[in-house]
Amino acid sequence: MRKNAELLLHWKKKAYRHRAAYLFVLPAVVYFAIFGFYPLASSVWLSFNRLNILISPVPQFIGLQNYWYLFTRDHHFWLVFKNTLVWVVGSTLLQVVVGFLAALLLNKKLRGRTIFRGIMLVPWVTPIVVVGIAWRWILDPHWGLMNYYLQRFGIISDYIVWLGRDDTVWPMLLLASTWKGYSYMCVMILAGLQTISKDLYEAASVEGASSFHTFFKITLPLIRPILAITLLVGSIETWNNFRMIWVMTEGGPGYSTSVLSTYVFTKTFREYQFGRGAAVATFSFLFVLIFSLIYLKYTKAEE
Amino acid sequence: MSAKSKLGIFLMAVLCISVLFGGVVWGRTVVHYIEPGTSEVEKARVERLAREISEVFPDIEMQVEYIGWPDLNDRLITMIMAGNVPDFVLQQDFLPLARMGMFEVLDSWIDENPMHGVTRDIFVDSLLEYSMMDGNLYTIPALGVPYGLNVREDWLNEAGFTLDDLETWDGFLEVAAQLTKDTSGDGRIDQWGFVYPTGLSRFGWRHAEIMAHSNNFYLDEIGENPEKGSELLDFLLDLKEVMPPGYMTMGLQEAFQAYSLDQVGMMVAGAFMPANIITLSGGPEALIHTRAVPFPKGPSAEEFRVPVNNSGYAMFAGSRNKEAAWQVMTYLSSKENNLDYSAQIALPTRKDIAAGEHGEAAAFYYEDYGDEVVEANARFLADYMDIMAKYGIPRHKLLAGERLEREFTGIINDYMAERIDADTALQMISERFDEIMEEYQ
Repeated sequence: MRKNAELLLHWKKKAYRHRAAYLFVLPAVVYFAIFGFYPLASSVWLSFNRLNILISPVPQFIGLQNYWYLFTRDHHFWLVFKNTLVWVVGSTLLQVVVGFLAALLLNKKLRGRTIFRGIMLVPWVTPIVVVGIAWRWILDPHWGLMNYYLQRFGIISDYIVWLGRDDTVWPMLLLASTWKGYSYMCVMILAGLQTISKDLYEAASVEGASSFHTFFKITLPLIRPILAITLLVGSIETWNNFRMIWVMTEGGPGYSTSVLSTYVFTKTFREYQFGRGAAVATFSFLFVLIFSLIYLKYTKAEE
Repeated sequence: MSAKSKLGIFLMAVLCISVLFGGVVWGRTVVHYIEPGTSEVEKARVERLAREISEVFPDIEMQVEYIGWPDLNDRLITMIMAGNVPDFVLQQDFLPLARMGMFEVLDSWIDENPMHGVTRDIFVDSLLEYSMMDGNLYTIPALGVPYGLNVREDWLNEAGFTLDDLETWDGFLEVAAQLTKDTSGDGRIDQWGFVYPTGLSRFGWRHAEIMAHSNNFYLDEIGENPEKGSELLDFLLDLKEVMPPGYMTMGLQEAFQAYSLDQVGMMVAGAFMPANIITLSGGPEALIHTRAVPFPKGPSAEEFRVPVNNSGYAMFAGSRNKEAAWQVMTYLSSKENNLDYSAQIALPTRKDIAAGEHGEAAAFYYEDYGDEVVEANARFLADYMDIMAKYGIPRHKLLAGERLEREFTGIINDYMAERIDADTALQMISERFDEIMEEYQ
């Protein structure tokens, strides 16, 4: 009892001593509690309830039934999940590869490098809805630029319905997403490249190392932490990237190009199935959380 | 009492008064109206009306908030749940909110307080019927929207056909096949007979629903009408031959573009087509040659069936200014206002407005495009008024509409891409519809 009282006193003293620090942190904590934690907790709670406001506005606790429905009876959930993996893995990897190449180029002493660095940021600062609409027009099967130029240069003979064929729709969505997202990767990687001491490259050059060896033995290992974080941020960003797919296909026809983020929106705000929508959102959140923890542990990026 | 305390009491008093008398500004009742039309022309009309209402009703002020059609219901639900209840709204798909109890039942209002000559019997029957759910009236019809087949009559005539040849599905396919051709002589087809845009579920469903109507059944009842459903699926597959290859990526807007750019000769739409194509390149020229007919009859249909719906004014159950809202709603439904509004974009909902009168009123919105366009538009609207009066049948209002639309469009795209056959498609549609409908019973 006495020990508890002493401990309490100790914490009180400590809190008083650091009161300024706590006060500075307080707004952020309150903000997170209201706009981060509460909606998240509310969404998780909702996922254990039946709530379709077209049927009844009162939530009814049903345990794991929403999850059971998603995993066993929902005709589209696993297709949507597979689409999400294709979308996230494909989009993030392509963005990193293209961003890496652009960063290597912009790290060299080129004439007009500053201008190129500015131009490279254009996709990043262009609103995603505008990018989506522009790509839809480019890929239009009847009057889009893609078909026009490919046919003009003799690469295709007939116009292709890029967003309407199974074998072309995902490559095209990934192309649009890569164009939009590579510049962020490029900026991050470029920042990493600029922290590498030139002495290392000079020493490697004196030792007669080839460009290949320099890249794999110096550049890549030294920017690995930045690359790891960039990949993680990029993949979470893409995981939640609702707008690009929504603008280009609305997740359709049917659910054929839906990903988890569009599926949450459709289920919740189009079909008013709040309980099932919350279950999809919670599953999506947990998947990203577990993936991030494993990824961080594996890459040791937290160090 | 300190200055701080006085200020606190004053602010508290202001807050209490605002809460108690919310919606009243200096003796005037503020009616909060949600307008889903967001084009400049529509906004200009609504703002003019708001000024007019202040003059006609000195004790009422109409405050307008614009929320586009696609987000309308989502936003309304959010507003109501947050306690910010507007007074009335223009609604098309009123069923979800009515089912949630968010809309006022208007029967007693229209029967006991028929202002500005607004009574039940002034409205076109099929349109008034569309405004009802479970025998109760939820909206006052403001715009009549019949759906039919819009046709380039000049192309038909050049190919040796007339509008009368569009009597049956077979006749329609024959015409569409003749209109599908290579006009530039480069060996590629660049003109098609028809377009059924299945890129967006909303239109993938709606256009098939119109075709189902023309074969004497409701699309949501396809499971109970397997033979008629099978005929529809066969017909849809036949359509592939006469449609642009990108139909499965098109929404209605893209279909309108194709129509106005002389790429497509016929498409399903409504009386709202002129407002949608007039500003597009080639739109006015296309409109000059456009006529409207009922969608041709399928093999199981004896007569034409034209699905209709309306946009109507709905009052919120939680409105705090119902009397004032009703005054404004009925004022907007007066003959003069119904004529003016419908002339802009669709058809009138009142029986006392004649086709000629409507065409003349519509001229105001199209006069910048020349006399030919004005005349063509009047003729086109008269076509629709005629077919709505003769063959109009209210569309089914479906609580699970969005889910049915997505399921149906997904399956139809697989079917039309020949990934599944007709029997499988029909079975899948029936089973999925049954599953969904069961949840809502």
